Amino acid sequence: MKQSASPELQLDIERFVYEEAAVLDRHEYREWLGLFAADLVYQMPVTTNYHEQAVGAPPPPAPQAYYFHDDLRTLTQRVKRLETGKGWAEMPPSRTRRMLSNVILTPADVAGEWNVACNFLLYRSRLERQVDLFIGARVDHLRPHAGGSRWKIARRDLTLDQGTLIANNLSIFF
Amino acid sequence: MTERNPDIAATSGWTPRDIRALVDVKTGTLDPRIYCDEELYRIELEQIFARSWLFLAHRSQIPKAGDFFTTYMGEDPVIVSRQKDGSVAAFLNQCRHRGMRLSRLDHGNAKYFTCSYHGWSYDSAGKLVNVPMEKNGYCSKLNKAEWGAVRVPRIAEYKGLIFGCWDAEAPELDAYLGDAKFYIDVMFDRSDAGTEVWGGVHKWVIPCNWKFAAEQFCSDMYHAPLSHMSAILAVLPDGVPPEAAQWPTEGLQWRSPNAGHGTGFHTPDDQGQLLAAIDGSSVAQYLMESRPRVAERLGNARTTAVNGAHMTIFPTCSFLPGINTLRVWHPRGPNEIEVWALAIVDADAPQDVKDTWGQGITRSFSPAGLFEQDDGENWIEVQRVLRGARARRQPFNMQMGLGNEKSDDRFPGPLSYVFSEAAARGLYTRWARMMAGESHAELARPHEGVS
Repeated sequence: MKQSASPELQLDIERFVYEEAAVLDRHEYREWLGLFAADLVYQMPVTTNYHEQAVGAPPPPAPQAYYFHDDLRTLTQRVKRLETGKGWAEMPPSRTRRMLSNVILTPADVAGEWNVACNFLLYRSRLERQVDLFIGARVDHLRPHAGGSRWKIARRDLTLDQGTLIANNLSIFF
Repeated sequence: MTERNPDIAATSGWTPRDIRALVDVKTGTLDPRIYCDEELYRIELEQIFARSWLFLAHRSQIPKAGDFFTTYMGEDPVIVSRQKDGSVAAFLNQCRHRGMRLSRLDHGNAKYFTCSYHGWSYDSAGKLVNVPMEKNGYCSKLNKAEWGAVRVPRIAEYKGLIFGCWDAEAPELDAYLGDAKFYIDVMFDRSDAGTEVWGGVHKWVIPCNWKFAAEQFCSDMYHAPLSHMSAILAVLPDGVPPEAAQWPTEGLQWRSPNAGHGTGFHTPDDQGQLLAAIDGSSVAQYLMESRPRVAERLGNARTTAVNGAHMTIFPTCSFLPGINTLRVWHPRGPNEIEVWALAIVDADAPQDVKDTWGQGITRSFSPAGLFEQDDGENWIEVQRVLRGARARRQPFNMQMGLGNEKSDDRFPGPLSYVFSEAAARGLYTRWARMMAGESHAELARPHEGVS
C-alpha cells in the first residue's frame, strides 16, 4: 500500500475538484484556465471496440485518436473561440452541471504531488430540448501551488465511456 | 426512361415525376421534403446507397493480410478485409444463419469471423468454412458454398481510398470519379508514398439529414466566413491583425457534369498564416518545402492555386485538402447521421510532422474541433425546423451563381465562382436522377439545365 492521503488532504483536494466544476458550470473560463500549469497535458482519447479487451487481457494499446489533445495554448484557443461571441455551438451557452465523485488520491512520483482520480457525470442542456449526458473517468496530476488556487493541474487524462459519441459535438469542457 | 426499382414503385407514393420536381435547377429551388420524408429516405437506401460507389476505408487502415475494418454502406454493416494476395474483400457483417452481426469490433486482425450466436465461422473473404453440428445437426447436408457471407461485388481503390458498390451495372470507379480525380489528387497524390490515416476514427451522431453535410462539403464555401469566424479568430496568433481573419474572395468551384461530385477552393496563394495556425507551423513549413516536388507531379496550379478546398464525392465521402480531414456521412434515417472522420497525413512526412498534423486536424475538425462544432449546430436546427408542416412546404433558395458558369485553362470544368451553388445544383440533380430510377447508362450523360 502506497502512502495514503490524510483526511485533511482528501477534503482539501475534493474541495478543489468541486470548485473547479462550479467555475466551469458558471462559464468562468479565464478563471478555469488559471487552474492549469504552463506545461499542461489535457487529453481525451477516442474509445474503440477491439478484441483484446476481454476480461483479464493485457492493458489496451496506446490510444489512436483523441477528442481532446491539448496543451495550455490550444486549450486557451478554445476559450478564445467562446469569447468571440460567434461560436454558435455555445452561443447561447449550454447549461451544464458537473457531478464529480469517487475521488481517490494516490501519490505522484514527485513528493507532495498527487494523482487524483474521479468519475464525472456531465449533464448538458442546450437551446430548447437538446440533452446530452457524458459519463467517464478523469485522472488529474495536481501540483501544490502557493497562489490562490492551492493546486495547479499539470495533466488531465479523460476517459469518455461511449463508443460512437452520442452527441453532436464536444463544445464543453471536462 | 427506365422505370425505378419495381419494389419501390410498388410500395411508394412517390412517382419519378414527383421526385424530379423536388429539385428545380432552372429556378434554383429545392423542396425541403428531400431532407425529412421517411419514404424518400427508404428510396434513397435502394436508389442511392445500393447503386453508388461508397467510401469504405483508407488503404492504410488494413495494411496486412487478415486486417479488417468494420463500417457501413448506407445502413448496411460491412466487414472490409485485407486478403492474403493483397486484394481487399468486403461482405455484409451478417451471419447467414440468423442474421447476427459477425464482427462486433471496430477493427482488428482475424483469420476467421465466428458468429457469437451459434458459431458459424467465415474466413477473411466471407466464405463459410465451419458450422457447429454440421454432421449431427445438419446431417452433413448443408451446402456451405451457398451460405457464405454476402460479398460486396464491386471493390475498387483510387489513391488509397477503397470504395465498394453493390450494383453490377455501375460504371468503373475510375469513370465514376471522372475529373474529380484531378481534384482528389491535390490531397491524395502528393507523392508516390501517398497518404495514411493518423490515429483512429472519430464517430459521432448529428441529428440531421446526410445531404446537409454532403452538400456543404460539395458546394458551400459560402458558410465558412460566418459559421467558422470564431475558430479563425481563436487560432490566429496574438498580435496578428484582425484583417488577417478576412475570408478570401477569389476562387473557383467545380461540379461534376453528371455524377454529383463537387469542390471549391480559393485561388490566391495567401492562406499560409491561417493554415499554419490550424495545422501547426511545422506542418505549414513542411507543406511549403514540399511544394517543388508536388508541383513536379501535379503542376503549378494544383500546388499554389487550390487553397482551403472542400470536396464531396457523391454521395457521402467528403474531405478538406490542406486541413486533411476525410469523412463519410453514414445515413441513419432522414433525421440523423453518423459522422466517421479520419485524419489524413502524407505517408512519407517525418513522424513529428505527422503527429502535429494529426493533432491539428483533431483540434479543428472532429467532435471537439474548433471548426467542426459549429457546423452541426446549423444542420440540427434546420432539421428541427423542418418538423413544421408550413416549414417543409417552403422551397429553399439555391440560386447563387445561377447561369454563371465559366472556364479556366488551368482546371477541368464546369467551373463557377467559389461562392456559388452550382455544385449543389449538380449534387441534387444527381440525387433526383438516381431517385427517379435512371439507369447507369442514362446517368452517364451530363445533367440537363444545370448551370
